[in-house]
Amino acid sequence: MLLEVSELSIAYANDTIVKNMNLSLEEGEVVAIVGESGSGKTTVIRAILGCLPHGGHITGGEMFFEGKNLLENTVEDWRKLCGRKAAMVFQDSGSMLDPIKRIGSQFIEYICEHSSLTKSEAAKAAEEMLNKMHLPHTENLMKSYPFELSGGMRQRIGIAMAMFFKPRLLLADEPTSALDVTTQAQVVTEMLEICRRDQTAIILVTHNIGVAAYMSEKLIVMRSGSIVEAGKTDEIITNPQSQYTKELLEAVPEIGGKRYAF
Amino acid sequence: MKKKEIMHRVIQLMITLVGVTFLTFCLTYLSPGDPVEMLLEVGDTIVSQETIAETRAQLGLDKPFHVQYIRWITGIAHGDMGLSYSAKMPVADRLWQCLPGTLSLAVSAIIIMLLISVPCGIISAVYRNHKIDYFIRGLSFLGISMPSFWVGLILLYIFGLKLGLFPIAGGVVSLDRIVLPAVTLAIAMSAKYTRQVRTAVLEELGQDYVVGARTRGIPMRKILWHHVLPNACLPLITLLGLSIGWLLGGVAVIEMVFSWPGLGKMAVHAIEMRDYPLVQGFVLWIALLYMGINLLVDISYTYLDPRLKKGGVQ
Repeated sequence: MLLEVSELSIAYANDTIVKNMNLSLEEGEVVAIVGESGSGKTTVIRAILGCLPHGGHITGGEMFFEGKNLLENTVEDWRKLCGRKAAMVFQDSGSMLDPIKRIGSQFIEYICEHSSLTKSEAAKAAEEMLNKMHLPHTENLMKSYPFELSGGMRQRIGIAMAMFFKPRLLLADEPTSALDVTTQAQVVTEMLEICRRDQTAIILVTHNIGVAAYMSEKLIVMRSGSIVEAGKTDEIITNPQSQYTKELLEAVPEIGGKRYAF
Repeated sequence: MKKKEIMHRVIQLMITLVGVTFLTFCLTYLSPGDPVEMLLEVGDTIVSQETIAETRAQLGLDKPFHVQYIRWITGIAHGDMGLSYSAKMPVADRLWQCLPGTLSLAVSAIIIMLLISVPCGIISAVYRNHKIDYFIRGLSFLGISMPSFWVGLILLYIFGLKLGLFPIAGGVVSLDRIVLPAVTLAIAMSAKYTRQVRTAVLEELGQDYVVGARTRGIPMRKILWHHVLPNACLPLITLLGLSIGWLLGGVAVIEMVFSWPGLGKMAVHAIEMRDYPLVQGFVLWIALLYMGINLLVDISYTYLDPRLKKGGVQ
């Protein structure tokens, strides 16, 4: 078992946002958490990386990653875990980068933080990684600032950075929601491809049940901080039990009498 | 900012400058009292009408307004700002005489202010709502509430009179004499800037890129020094530019309290003596100063913020 979350509860100040969350993940498995905004799905994955926003804290439950209790982590333990064994991709990876520093310098800073590579070795490795993500003109990309790139490019760079150290777990927070449909499909395919190659497990958070159905093996449907339904993706899609899941499924656009994942 | 834009700004500055010089010139022209009499009068001496008329002609003050204005502005272009009645010397020389006092005071006050407010502001932001934050905020509130002339007098009383660490009488620019006025200025400014630094750092700490860096496992110390501070600097540079302008214009109250030979004290004296050419020169200096500093601030932004250099969105 790679990750085991049991009975996890999270609160901001005194408001409980997530109640008794359960989740388990094997190596290389893809789990999707779907639900409307405010359902607490982002909060769950933030908690797994120890990056809850100001005022957020865990009020109950347990989290085990590779058999280690995450709730006993020190600041240094978290730092070593984040970006190395577990990485995160955001809705807009560009805004998760310092706006006034070049992408290259931030990529190099990240690589050097978790390895003993020199700066020039790190620069070379970073470029190779961008190449692997099918990004063109990697040398120019390294010299660019985040604001100069398109959403799709920024997202690919975010994935390239997150996957650099071949993490065991990738937490993807609405990774395609800010992209147009064509780019969404490309980014999703690329992300899946690279994760399958490195045997990286994914927790995908999305409000788009179509994307979730396409990518995941297991599905968790959340509403107001609680699990509404959980199980194998195929089973839930074909035979949803709860009314809420049915509503979500009905919200997927229909083309020619058929519902498509994309 | 590209070169073309900088040229645009310089042309704008020239136009503003013409406006400023015109208004400053009007100040003298419309002011009561005869400048020639003021120039010639020393003590109770009586000056003959012929001498007055002669000097008036010499100075060109018998000419119509526009001729005088053109003469004055051509003079300025050649570095001649006229004669100071009270100092009995060219205005440019008088300003030049007072500049070292103001410059040294401004530089030392800024340095002390930065040494206090930057660390305090950062600590206050990082340990937000901890005891140390409340303590620093309390001190800064105190600093803002105390008028600086009063702080100056108290410092003079304690460190000058009671402890005898620093000389009380000013008058000349020297290292031991600059300490108290510089500290007095720095106290008031630090109180203000500590809050500004705190707000700017807090604002940046809440940005997404900080979360991003944390999820990449970058240590908080590095996030703070390499990312948060450079970003937090940006809004502070405009403020710092204004403060430098304010300081270089002379800080009259502090200079009076410490009898410090700077531009502020000179300006107050010039106004008291109705020394209009000197007041004119002073106003011109302030205008030039603010325009120059604003231009420098704008240019510096293009180097510090790539979004402006490359014309991206802000």
